[in-house]
Amino acid sequence: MSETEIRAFLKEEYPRVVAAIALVGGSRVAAEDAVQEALARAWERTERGESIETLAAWVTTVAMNLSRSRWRRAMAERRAWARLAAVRSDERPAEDVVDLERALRGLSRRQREVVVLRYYLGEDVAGMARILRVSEGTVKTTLHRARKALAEALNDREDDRVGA
Amino acid sequence: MSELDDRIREGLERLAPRADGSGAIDDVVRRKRRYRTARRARAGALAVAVVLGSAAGVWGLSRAFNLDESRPAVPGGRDGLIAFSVQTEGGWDIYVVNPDGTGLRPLAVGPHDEIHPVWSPDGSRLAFVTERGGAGNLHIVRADGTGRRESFGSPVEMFAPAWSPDGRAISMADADGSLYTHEPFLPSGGTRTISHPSRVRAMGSPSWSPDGGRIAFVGGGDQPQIYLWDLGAHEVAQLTEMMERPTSPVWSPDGSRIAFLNRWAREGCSGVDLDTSQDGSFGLHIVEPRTALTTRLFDRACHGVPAWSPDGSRIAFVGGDVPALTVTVLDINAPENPVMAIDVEGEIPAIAWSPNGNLVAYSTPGSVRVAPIGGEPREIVSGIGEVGGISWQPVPGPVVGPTPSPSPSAPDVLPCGNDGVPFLAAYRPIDETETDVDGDGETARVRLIADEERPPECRYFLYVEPPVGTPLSAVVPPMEGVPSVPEILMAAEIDGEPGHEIVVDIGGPGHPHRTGVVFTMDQGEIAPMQTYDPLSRNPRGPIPTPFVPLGGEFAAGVDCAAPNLRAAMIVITVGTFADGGQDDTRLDITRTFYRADGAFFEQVERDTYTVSIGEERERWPETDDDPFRSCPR
Repeated sequence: MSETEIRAFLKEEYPRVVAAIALVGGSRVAAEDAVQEALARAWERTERGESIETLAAWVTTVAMNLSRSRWRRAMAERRAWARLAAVRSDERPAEDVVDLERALRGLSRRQREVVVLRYYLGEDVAGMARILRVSEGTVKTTLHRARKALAEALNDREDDRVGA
Repeated sequence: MSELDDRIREGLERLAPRADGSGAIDDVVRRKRRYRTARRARAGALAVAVVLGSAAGVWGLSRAFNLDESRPAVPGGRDGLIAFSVQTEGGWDIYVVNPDGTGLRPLAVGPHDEIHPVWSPDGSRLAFVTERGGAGNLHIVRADGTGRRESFGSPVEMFAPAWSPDGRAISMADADGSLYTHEPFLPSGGTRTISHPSRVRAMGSPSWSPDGGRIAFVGGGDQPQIYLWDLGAHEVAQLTEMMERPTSPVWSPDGSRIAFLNRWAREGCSGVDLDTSQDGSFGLHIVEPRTALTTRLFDRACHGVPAWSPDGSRIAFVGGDVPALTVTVLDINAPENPVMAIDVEGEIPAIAWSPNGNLVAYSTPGSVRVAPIGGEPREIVSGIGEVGGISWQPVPGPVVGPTPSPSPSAPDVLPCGNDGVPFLAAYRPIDETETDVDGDGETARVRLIADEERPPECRYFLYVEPPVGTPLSAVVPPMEGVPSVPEILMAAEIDGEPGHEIVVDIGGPGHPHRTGVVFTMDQGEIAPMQTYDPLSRNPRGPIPTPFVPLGGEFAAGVDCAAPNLRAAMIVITVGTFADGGQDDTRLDITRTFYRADGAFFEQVERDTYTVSIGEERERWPETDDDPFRSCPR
């Protein structure tokens, strides 16, 4: 793998993969850290002679694993706090998006992963199973439960607003 | 596509943060260079060890770290060693230095990340965590750098460990929310690990009560609170209520209070981005374990871990928020007027008290400093990378020579086949699956892992991670006939009763179901009970290609699902192409029934039937009938 390929990934795939990891883990800084780390590992692996079939899928898998690390997340945020403080915005997202964010936070980590892979990255069941390294049956079950939980949470919020 | 799907999809698009990769190439190159350096370092590890262990090595390190040997000693002089983790070109390593800046030397270096140093109560040993590939391992090393041993492992990162007051146990939590106490110095030479008995998931490092009877920790998931694990009663109880986001509980030396930080997100502390609460109080708090009475001592403290002075009269903590931070010390009887507030910038400092309570050590970006209370700080190490944790040796323990406490018989090298301590040296994930292995309705992860530094006969481990509780592990027996790396083909609980047997079918590329292992799981332990070789029992011989899936998730194995069944029935199902392998549209299925108990494992019945390949089934064919007719009743 060459630096040119890495640059191409950063230009074309990186924003979406980072966004996906951030949706799962809740932190853009930690997501960027995880994706950069995964990309560096991929690069290093290929230099050792190992092959990586699909870079985006491989990076997504590794970055998702890395982003589970609270320690890594804490370190990433330590490095970026000063920068974060400078760019923090007072803008608040629309209410329906906040509802979805809350609903996502109510899911388990694994459920968030399948939701983001399915609805944000557009992966099919086989692709999700490959990235998460679980069986397709597990993916189907998890996605079904996640979707059901989201439906209930979003409808509850809607009811709250109507009743308010 | 339903309206809900569209709503989720559109919402995620709007919710997703925008990242720009244009400036990331430098970071990626730097990280990649670090891996290359580590790879080279491994190749020359021996030479590096010799150099670093020599006087010349220390001298060279001192030069590299801009250590000024002529700097006058701080008040208090030599007062135990300060251990700190620091980021170097090859990763994170742990060094020690005297409080006056002399004696800087490495205590734990290596190609992995060595982090979270914590001295034992008697100062004779240092516990720390190594991280590699997302896995955390607890290590212990003597104060002189000898006798480094691996003591406990987690497949995910671990938070800083906490020694029990008597130095016999270590408590730690990992990033999956598990909380353990681990006894590394049992007289038998082995170790013992137990997990806390509730479903509360731990978040961050625990803290022992001074009497060793309880452990305080933050737990609870999305709405965390502080909990107490009573080790005697083996119970967990919630201590605080209505705290927005408590972190870092630390027990006072007299046991009467627990200091902690409370913080929340958008109107409060930066870097806390999951919580959207808008109200509540934040800052440094104390809570009395006896009454649960909570008091706020200081109203602006967001980060770091508070540290009690040895006499319990003062607390040192990180005041303010990024980027305006202070190392603050206050008297708990007069918290409104801090006795010390030193500005630091850029990074969250780690803080540690000297044993006599006169000095505080803290980190800044690129340095370690020591300050007398109310006095001017002095830089004792500078020009280094980012500093992580700091720990000050509680008492000046022996620095040179053997330090047998607390257990002279504790082995430094783990024997092959020590089931309780797998994959600590070179953990490598092989395969994993998820299933309800103990019939409690919760899915557990079942992993096959390898420790490459062990001999082949005890290299592979089965590692079962229940959603709550201690992971279980056992050596996979040698698998004759599996030529390369094995894999899990199936894992299932087999009697529907928590804490009994599970069956794991392990094979290898091109050798499905070549060897299977039945493990028993009981009373927090797991052990291989019996191996089987299903193909050798099949009169028609093995199928020539990987097993043809029939729509189910498992290639073999079902349970009796009989409640209150002491013994389990295992059904091993193997398919071969019909007509002696000539008909590739149908499979002959052979079912072999085994009865498993804690004491024996025997074949009780076998039958065969034929199915068509490609037939979509929600369940295995045999579950349509009554495969459990042979279950013992």
